[in-house]
Amino acid sequence: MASVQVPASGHLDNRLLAHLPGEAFALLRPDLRQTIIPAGMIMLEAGRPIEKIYFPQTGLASLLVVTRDGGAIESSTIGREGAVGLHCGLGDRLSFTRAVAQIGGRFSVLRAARFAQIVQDFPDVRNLISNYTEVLWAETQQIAACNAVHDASSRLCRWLLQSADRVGSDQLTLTQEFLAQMLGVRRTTVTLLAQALQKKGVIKYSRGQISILERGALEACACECYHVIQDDRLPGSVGVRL
Amino acid sequence: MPRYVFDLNTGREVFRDPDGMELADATAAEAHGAAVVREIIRNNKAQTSAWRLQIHTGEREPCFEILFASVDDSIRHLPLKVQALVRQGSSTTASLMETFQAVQLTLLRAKAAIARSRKHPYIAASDGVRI
Repeated sequence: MASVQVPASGHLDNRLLAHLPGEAFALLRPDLRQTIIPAGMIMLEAGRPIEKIYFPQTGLASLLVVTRDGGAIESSTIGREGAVGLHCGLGDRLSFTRAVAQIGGRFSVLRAARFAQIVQDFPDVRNLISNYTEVLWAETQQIAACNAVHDASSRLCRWLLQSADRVGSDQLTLTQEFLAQMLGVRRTTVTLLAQALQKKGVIKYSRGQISILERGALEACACECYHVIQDDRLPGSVGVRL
Repeated sequence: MPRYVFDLNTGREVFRDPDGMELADATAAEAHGAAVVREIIRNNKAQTSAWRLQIHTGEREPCFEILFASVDDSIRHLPLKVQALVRQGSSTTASLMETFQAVQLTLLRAKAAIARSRKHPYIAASDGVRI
């Protein structure tokens, strides 16, 4: 893992960091490290203390609920609009879910203990944490409902749109195995559903790379959950400002 | 372990599985196929009962197929006789759709043959293969 000091502009690709009050960011800045995290790396493990906070700049993280037989299903996705483990700024916390890098990329990393120190002196940062946690909670509820009542194809479309928004690109680098795990279905199911979307000209899939060709058509194939959890809509709909 | 590929035939279109999957034997392939069918059926608003999952070997030799209605748990509450009727109906629909596909292909081939005999350009393809 490469770890280097970068200009503030790199860290500020993450919208939560960009929202911090200037004074708080200036204090955190010397402790923020930019790291390239490869796809598949586990950032937090369920039941373990949260020691670091990860702010995605270009990558994408997934929160997974892991079952006893080793199966896992995604409960939330975190991209440049959020952070993994942010709530430990309120005090020592154990992670309830596993957090894994879904799409590799640049992340800003901060020690949890340092973040907690700074939070004590800045009520605005405390509010930001609690607002973000509420938004994440709302999203998780929506995704729980989505996993239960929507068909695999509309969930696949929702997932592609949401992930594209959160990495800021219509080209996603990820394997069908991973996608299958996120949606809680077999790889063959994802392959066949992706083939159907490809035949319609909505997406293009080639070895580990998915491109969204027709965003409007993909939105029409997705369940309503995509619009509910869109980053520019969700905070307002639960009455908080991010 | 042998490789099996799983193609989805909706009656209107066929979606091919380009990679397939390595599985212990035909029984494992059938179990995998049935699980995939259930995942596609689950919460699906489309009428899927006449869809089929067609399982081939890695060399694309046909093995067997699974009619969606045969693993559809949503008809389990119906009396056995009615369940049998649903399956029979779906199976007939699937055969009918298959016949349509074959007729369409024959028509396309005939059109191509006529056009070419008149030295007219004609480009058509089925499953990525030129007709």
